[in-house]
Amino acid sequence: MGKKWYYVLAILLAACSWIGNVWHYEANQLGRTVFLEHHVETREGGGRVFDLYYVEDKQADKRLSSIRIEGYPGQIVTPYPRYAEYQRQYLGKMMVNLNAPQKKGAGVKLEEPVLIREVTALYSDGSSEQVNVGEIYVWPGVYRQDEQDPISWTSGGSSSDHSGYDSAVVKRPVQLTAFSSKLLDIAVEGHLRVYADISSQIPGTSYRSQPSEAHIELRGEPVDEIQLPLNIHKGDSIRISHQFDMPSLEKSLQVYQLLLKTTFMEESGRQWHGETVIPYHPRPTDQELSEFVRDSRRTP
Amino acid sequence: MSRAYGRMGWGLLFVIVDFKLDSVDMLPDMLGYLLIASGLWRLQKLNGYFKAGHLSAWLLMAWSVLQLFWFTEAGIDGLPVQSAKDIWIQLPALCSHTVLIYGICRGIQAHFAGNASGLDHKASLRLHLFMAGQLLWLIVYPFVLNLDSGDMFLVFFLCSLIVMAAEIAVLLLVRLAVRESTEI
Repeated sequence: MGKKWYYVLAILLAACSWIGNVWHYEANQLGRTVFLEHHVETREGGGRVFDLYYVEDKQADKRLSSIRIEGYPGQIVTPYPRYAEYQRQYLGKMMVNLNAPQKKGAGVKLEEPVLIREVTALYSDGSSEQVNVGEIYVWPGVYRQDEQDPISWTSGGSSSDHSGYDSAVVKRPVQLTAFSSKLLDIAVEGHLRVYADISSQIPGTSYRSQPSEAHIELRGEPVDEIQLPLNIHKGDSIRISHQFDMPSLEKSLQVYQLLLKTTFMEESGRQWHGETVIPYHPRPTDQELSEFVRDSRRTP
Repeated sequence: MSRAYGRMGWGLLFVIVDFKLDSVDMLPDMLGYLLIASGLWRLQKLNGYFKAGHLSAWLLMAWSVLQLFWFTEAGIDGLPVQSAKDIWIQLPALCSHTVLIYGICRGIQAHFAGNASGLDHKASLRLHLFMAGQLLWLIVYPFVLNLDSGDMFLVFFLCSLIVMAAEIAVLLLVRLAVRESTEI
């Protein structure tokens, strides 16, 4: 009789284990492809690329095979479906190069970028749908590096803690007139710090040895506090560094790519532009991704 | 009677041993279950336990035929990824297998009850060993859905080892039954 009770208990435990595990597994399945929220600036040419991130169940019957952005017939999309692997999901990305041909004799260049909010998602079962991916600002044309350019961008780097920098050397005296980007709101909110260090303003600092890749130090002053216009002399160096500090899970799972435009003017009145890419690519932990999955299940 | 036990013994050997050449099982489970079913077909007249085992053997044979056409979907890396569906599919086979071994052991225990050879006690002991391993396996197996298989490796390995040792013990029990029934 006693042994029979052990069997009954073991069978009950087995039943609980099966029901509990299957329930927990199903509760952590996404059930569809979900794109992260993107805030991206890019250019339609010049080899400029951006990434569109998405999350999919490992067991998904229908997988994202590619994406298409209307109006860019030459676009090159490179899929990375298993960019990062989690317990039950994959974080995938689509690397997009809009690859628009340079327009000849197109007249005055558009000053404003085109805003794209939706892309066409193409699935493995042959179906497709329009999906909202956030905001992608596509700037026209491409800034060509000219030999005459008074600013020479020399080096750059980034770190896994979402910091990075770009450095340049000034070949001729110029006046720094503006820093601009369509997505600088995030800096206003305090989640991105962008600093500029100009060697003539804070002597010597820009020529220090390069920082380790573990952390890139912010140097100089916040760009919004620099008094513009600012005269920069021949031989000075410019270092633009950034650091993202995402305050919440919701923010930390958004994708950012800013094109910070620095505008310089020579004495002759000729304008030059520099462009610094400031990227934020999410790297969620298993726990953060599980939370994202649960949140995504609640919102249709 | 001894021929029936003999067939059951060969059947168990086919089921327990996986001898594969170029991924082809030289001792197919399907043939094993057929041999067990044919052995139990004659023994089922003796008691209800053998009857239950007989039914389970047919179910498992049908299951092993289905498996020939029903390949587990490979995961994205070429390695099988367990889904809830894959796990549920295993449940009828696991339960039928448990009933089969239970039926064989309890059937032998009932058939040789009070026999001087002590086969009934041996059957009882092996049944408890098998049930302990198999029920433990049934409890831990669904965790494969939610825990990393690396973390579960030791538990799975231990459970498999207990079940395998118990099944070999049951195979030897059937051999003893062959000998005893010849003498009877």
